[in-house]
Amino acid sequence: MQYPELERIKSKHPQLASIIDKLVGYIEREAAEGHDRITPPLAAGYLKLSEAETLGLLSLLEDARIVRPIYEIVCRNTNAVLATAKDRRGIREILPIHCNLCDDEHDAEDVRIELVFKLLPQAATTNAAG
Amino acid sequence: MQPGKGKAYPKDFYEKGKELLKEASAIPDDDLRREAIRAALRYYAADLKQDTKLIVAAIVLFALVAGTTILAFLMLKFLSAVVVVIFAFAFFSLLVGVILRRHGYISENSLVGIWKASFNLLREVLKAKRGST
Repeated sequence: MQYPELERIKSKHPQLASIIDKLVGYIEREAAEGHDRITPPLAAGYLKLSEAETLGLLSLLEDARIVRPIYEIVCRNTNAVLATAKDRRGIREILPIHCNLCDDEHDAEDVRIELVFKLLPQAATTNAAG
Repeated sequence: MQPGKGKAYPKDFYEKGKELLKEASAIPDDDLRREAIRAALRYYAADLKQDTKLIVAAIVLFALVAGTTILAFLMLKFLSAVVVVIFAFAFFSLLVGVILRRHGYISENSLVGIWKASFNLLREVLKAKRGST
């Protein structure tokens, strides 16, 4: 799939073009498998890069409107994703939150926050196309 | 299934941001380093402990209690001053509890726990004070 904005970013950073393509390939594969978000440590493992480098590349893809960062609020006991938030204010508005698995109300101490990248429609539609 | 296995997340999101920032600073490519630092800072932005208003409020409340303590020992007898100081600390705990609850950092159960502990403390102090007089 072609991403016009991505081509502009790759021409701006030619030294990163091949690794960006590899990340886009990973994202398209994830989309084809029905996943709608990218977890940086898993993408880093696939790309054989550090997590910081992968986050940097994902930031570039954010600029290309392929992904969008979101915060997942995860129960520390069950690892269940309880909710997602766009920003810090969103996290604060959500907490405390009820966990159906624990059947308990969780505050900030009982959850962890994870940064993941949600696929935007143009990347996610690869699923339908593929 | 997504392939690979990433590094386990540290318990604290802020610590994670610090670790990523250090990792990002060592990236040789200038462009990627800049982007990686931008992304790592997102962990700081989301850290629930990084609420400066909350920290300022806690410092102000603590300063009030500290002021009360100093005044109490300057102006009252020792035992009365101790009672005033304990009251001030209990009041400080209650206020901090209410602020934390209001910001969603603690649950209602935790707030009720703080209130109960404060009232128990005050009751014990009053009992001790009555016993000493």
